[in-house]
Amino acid sequence: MYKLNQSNSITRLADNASIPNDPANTDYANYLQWLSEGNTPEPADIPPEPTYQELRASAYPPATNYLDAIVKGDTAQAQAYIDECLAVKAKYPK
Amino acid sequence: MRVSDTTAEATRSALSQMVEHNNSIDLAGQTVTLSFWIRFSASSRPATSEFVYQLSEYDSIDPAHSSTGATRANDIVINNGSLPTVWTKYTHTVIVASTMKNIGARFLCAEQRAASSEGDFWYEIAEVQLEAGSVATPFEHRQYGQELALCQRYYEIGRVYGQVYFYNSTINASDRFDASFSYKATKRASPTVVLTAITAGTYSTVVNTPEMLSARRVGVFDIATDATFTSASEL
Repeated sequence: MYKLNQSNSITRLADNASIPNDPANTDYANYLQWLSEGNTPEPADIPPEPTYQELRASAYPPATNYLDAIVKGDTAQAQAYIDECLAVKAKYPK
Repeated sequence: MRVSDTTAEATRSALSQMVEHNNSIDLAGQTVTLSFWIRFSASSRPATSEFVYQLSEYDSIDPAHSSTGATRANDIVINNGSLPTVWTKYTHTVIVASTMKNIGARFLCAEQRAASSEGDFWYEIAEVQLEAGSVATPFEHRQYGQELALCQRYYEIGRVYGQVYFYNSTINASDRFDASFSYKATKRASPTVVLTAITAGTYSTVVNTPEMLSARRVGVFDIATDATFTSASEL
């Protein structure tokens, strides 16, 4: 029995071996043979949905924008940074 | 290498070794000689079938199923009743087909024991050598380091040492290792990788889906302990 992975490999369930998608690999060739006999691998695990923290972290503007505004005394740039952060929080609520 | 059977009935044993395409192809259409030493535990086996050795020729590159698809027109029989009980050298010279993509040697004992009541019957094979030409030269003994490096092209075992990211002041079950490592020898093909956690219990988690699987290196992510690995790209 085999299971598909998210990455470019499959797992052989008997020994948890990761088999690359390489026709020159003997184990992969055996997997293809197994498929040709009408067998079907288990589907890959569905990756978990990202948390709101992860979504926010990837969307926040660079903190250097805020620091740059402080150094320059640019209140408008600082406020723009804050507004962008608040917009991200609103987009990805808790 | 000793091949022994002490339990099963009507068992068939076969030793086979295919030579990688890159090392076989220059022999296509050439004269080659197989040589080896062998001895048996008795000159006669209880079962009546003979012992056979052969050169196997394959018309595909590094075929996965080495027991099938081979031309075995070169069978040589050592007759039952005449099996040598002292080390004896055998040689066998053939002209390989020009269409050969892979070549290999195979030793077959079709029925090692006919019944469990029979005593153990074994045979030992040593210094198997396949070479170009019609003369079996003395077996080439390699230094241990050379032999190990050549073997690592097909199989390697080792240990994964990761870089720990401490999410807390003390290690706990949520801490993870990310690691990648390069093989000591480039593999024949992208190898099959098995990770095994070294410690048991809380920190034994191994997410056994390495990435960047290639003939040169592999990446291991999200494991909670050091682990051993085996990487195999054998024929």
